[in-house]
Amino acid sequence: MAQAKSKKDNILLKGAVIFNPVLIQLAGLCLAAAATSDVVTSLIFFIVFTVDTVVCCFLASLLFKRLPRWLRVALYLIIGAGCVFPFAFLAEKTGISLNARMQMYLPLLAVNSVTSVHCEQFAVKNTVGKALEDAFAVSVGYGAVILTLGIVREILGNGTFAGLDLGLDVRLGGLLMPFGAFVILAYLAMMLKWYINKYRPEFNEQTSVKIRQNEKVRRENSDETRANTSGVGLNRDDSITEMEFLFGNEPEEFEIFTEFWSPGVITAQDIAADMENLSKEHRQFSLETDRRIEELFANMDTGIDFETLDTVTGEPETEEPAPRDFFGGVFEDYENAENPADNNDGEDGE
Amino acid sequence: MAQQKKEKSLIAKSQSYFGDYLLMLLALCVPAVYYCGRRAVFVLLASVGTAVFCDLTGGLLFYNKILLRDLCAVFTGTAIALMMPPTVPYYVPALACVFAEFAVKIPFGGSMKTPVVPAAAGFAFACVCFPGEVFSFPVSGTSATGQFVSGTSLAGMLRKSSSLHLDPVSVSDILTGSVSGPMGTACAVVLLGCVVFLILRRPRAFLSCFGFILACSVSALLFPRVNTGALASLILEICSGSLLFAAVFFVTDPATSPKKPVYALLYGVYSGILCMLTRYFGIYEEGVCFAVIIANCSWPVIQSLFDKISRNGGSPEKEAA
Repeated sequence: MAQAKSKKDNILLKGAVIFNPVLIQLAGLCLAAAATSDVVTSLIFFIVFTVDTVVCCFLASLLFKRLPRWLRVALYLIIGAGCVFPFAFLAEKTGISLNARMQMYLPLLAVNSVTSVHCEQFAVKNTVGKALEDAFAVSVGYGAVILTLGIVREILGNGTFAGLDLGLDVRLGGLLMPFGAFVILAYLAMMLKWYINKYRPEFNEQTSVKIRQNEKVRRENSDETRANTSGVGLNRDDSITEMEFLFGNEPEEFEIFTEFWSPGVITAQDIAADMENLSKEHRQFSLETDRRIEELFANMDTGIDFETLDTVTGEPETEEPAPRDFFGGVFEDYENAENPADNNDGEDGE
Repeated sequence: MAQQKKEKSLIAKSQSYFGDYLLMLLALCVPAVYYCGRRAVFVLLASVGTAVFCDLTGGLLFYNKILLRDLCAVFTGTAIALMMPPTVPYYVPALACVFAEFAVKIPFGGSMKTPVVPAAAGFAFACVCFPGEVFSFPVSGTSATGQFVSGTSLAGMLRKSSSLHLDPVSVSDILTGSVSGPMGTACAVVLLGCVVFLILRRPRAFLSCFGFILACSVSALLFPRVNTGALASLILEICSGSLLFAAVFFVTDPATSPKKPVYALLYGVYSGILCMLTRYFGIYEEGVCFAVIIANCSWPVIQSLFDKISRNGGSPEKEAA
């Protein structure tokens, strides 16, 4: 029982705080930066976002598990539009005045990346209950950030709170612009990072370690496959991109997310062992490459005199070699003068 | 140990740069106090005091050390104050310094690691938040008596009128700074003296400054905003606003300007073009700080492009290979 409660708390904590959609995953930044200049707008966005995310995650978990991914993503957008546009229609009919900012950015909520990512990464792979918990947690995390932004920007930028004049003489109009939101977001992210470092150190660097481990497994699998298929048509880069990580569509990548979402305990020994393996692999790779190059040169009899070979063009050097740099020889002279000091102290005497 | 040594080297480098710049700023404070009286001193004190306080608290809070030794805070405070009119409320330069320190300098780790010039960012913030206060300049000579008469700066006149003309008296006024404008950036003679100092002390930094002034001069000659002659356009554009000031102090910033001479020159030209574009199309009468910020942010991308071209010898085949 206690374990189940702890797991539930874990989902809430991770969704809302540890992997905050705005401050850590950097999703939905456009809305957060541009549309949160006052508290009321932020609150309306929070409510619509919560409805959208909860409905999407619920349906994704309940109905979309067997659908192909390309269809699921389209359905998230349709559901999002289905949640957002009735609200705008109702607001117009009931006389709630939507300001210009809301009219512009409310439709963006229908296609926001936070909802799609969480539906695709979590909801379709878990039960309805867990999906709803996650949707709620994410909504709370997102809402907390946009409400904070709305409050701070309205008070400092407009001198009001929810439209009520606070009587402040100095108003920083710049904070109502998107750059003001980014500055505040940066400080919020810094505070969250500080909190994680201090009170939840187990989440530090966790994702990178997991990605590295999974990448290793992937590379091994990929090598095996390549060997089996004689390398036909397998030029795919092994490194994993951020978008692949977020919108993973292969079993290994699903696995990465699952581990990312519910990681085990990682000790310092694990990390040290991982680093050692990596450096060992790197050393072996370098040695192997050197050996192959030596073999290649030893077996090669091309008649080229390597002493006079221009290493850049591959042509034998002439008496007056063509300039190799875009800017002529200026850089080389400069580099020769600059590199020994490698700083600007040399200028003091100029 | 190596880290400490590196930090010490960075601080020494920063002290050396900003020490020179502070000397030049000190020279600019003289006409500021001469024309604007004690009000200039108070604005300077408010600005420098806030910058130093923010630097101290920020350094202790975020890094548990005192960052003040690099002299960047004093430079930032002085530069922001000198770009303000004497009539500005004290909280405007103070808030500009708070922004420069807490949004630009401290989060990135100090004066030699900032992506944009903190003083330029602080002044741009003040322009956006308090345009009325930052761009209302008194008539020169009325400030010293303590009773300010509202005037129009050269940059403001250039925006509004195309029939400005020069005569010997107004040229001497422009050169000596006896015109409406920011406290410390209007005196062209002292700024030209600073340019000479820059040539003697930091020839490589001067390249950026030279490129900047060159690009602005060519733009002023090719696309004049006044119809009274190319020379009038040139002198008015170069001597108005904070153009020369930014050329000496912002474009040559050690953290943001490139180190290689050719790049330094190109960076100066690029900043100058941006500066003139913001003057022609910007909504504020003074856009040089925005131009410097845009140049700071976009230059690394342009430089990497140049690097790529120079590495591949400009050959598309090699680039493709």
